[in-house]
Amino acid sequence: MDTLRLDMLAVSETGFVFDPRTGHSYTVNATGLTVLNDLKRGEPLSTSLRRLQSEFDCPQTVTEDLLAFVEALHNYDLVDKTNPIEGAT
Amino acid sequence: MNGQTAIAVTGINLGENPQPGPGVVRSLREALGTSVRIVGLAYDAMDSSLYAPDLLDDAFLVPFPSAGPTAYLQRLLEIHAQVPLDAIIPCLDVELPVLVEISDALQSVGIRSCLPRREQLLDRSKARLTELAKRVGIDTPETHPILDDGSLAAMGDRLGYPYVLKGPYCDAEIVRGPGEAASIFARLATRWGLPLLAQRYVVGEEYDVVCLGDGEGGMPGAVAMRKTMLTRLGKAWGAVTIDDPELIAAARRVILSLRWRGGCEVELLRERGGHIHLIEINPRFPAWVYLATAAGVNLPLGLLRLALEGRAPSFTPARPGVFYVRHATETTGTLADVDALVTRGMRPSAPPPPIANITSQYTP
Repeated sequence: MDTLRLDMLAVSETGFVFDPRTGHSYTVNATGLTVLNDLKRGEPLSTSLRRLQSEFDCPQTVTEDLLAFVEALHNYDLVDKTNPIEGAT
Repeated sequence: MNGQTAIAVTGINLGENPQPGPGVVRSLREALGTSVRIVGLAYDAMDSSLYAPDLLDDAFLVPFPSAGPTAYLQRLLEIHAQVPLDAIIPCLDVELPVLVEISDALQSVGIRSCLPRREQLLDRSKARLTELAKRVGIDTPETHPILDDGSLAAMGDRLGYPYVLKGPYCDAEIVRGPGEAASIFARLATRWGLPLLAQRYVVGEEYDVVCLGDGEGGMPGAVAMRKTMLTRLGKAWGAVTIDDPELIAAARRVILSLRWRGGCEVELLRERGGHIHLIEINPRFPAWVYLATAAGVNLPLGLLRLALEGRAPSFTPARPGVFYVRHATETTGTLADVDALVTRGMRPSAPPPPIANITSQYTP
């Protein structure tokens, strides 16, 4: 997954996200912030999945939710979702 | 003048269609403090900045540019006799052809300016945009001049709906179907004259770049922004600065090709996927120019330096993520202010009276 655009994002500790290239801003909750920071560090989604399962009271749909989150990032043109999400399914 | 630099600034009405003058004045005041004396040039006694505190030191009425270069020059010389001017910064599109024509005469009496040349003005006009875009290697939406009802009727088939109908200087409306075309055409033609321009509608996000050109192809400074709030007229009510090297590079190519001298605004549109279109070039600073100053790039100051010293300061890149929200408020004056402006063409160089005096008896 190409996460180059994520590197440019300014992400606050409280989950306010600003894309300096487009001027768009977003907010993410605690789980979204965890995944976003993982992706910015270049971690695979499988790592994020494990982190979500260990640090949060996750529903059974956590895998689907994670994929939906990545899909949303893709729709906002923030990640190029060309590779399969290894380990997340 | 107590060693002050006196700068005349036009376009000082902050109304529904906000003008750039107040942003230029704020930028100069912030950089130069009391060493600058701002002379506001208004076209109407109700131009809002005439009554705004802390903006203008002096204010004069001037004739509309349509009065012609001779009348405009004569009025500026009258003002110069009362308040010796060092420079003038015009902020409206329609003034530029007149100012360009009289700039040598103004320079001969010590009023300097930083203006594009006549041919540069023509080369950036909406009618020549396609040619310019091709020269700088940026796409631009297909555009056709509209002179009459006949050519208007053909546009729906030619461009498809919706398309954008634009005035020759400014103003634009989206035509969504044949039923709207005639009324929008009539409205824009009555307001701005002909020809209008019909432009293919491109879906994407609009980004604007405010630039300063040094006249030799260089661009000492530029700031890109995305509009975040729009008025009913499509004017920016809020915007945020961004860091997009591609947009700045596109603006730089435009400035280089035109060898633009002075301030301008390059309007670009980015399609999803990143493709950039050149939409328009406005030949003066935009009303949001103070956002650039707030982001660390004081382009009005740069323009003043170019006018007075022939060189602009070097600017560092703007800070992204700086935003503005326009704040509309009431400015107040007394009948005596309007009296002075309407009958003598000037407001005494005093700030607007304190609010407590507003209701005092009018004694002419």
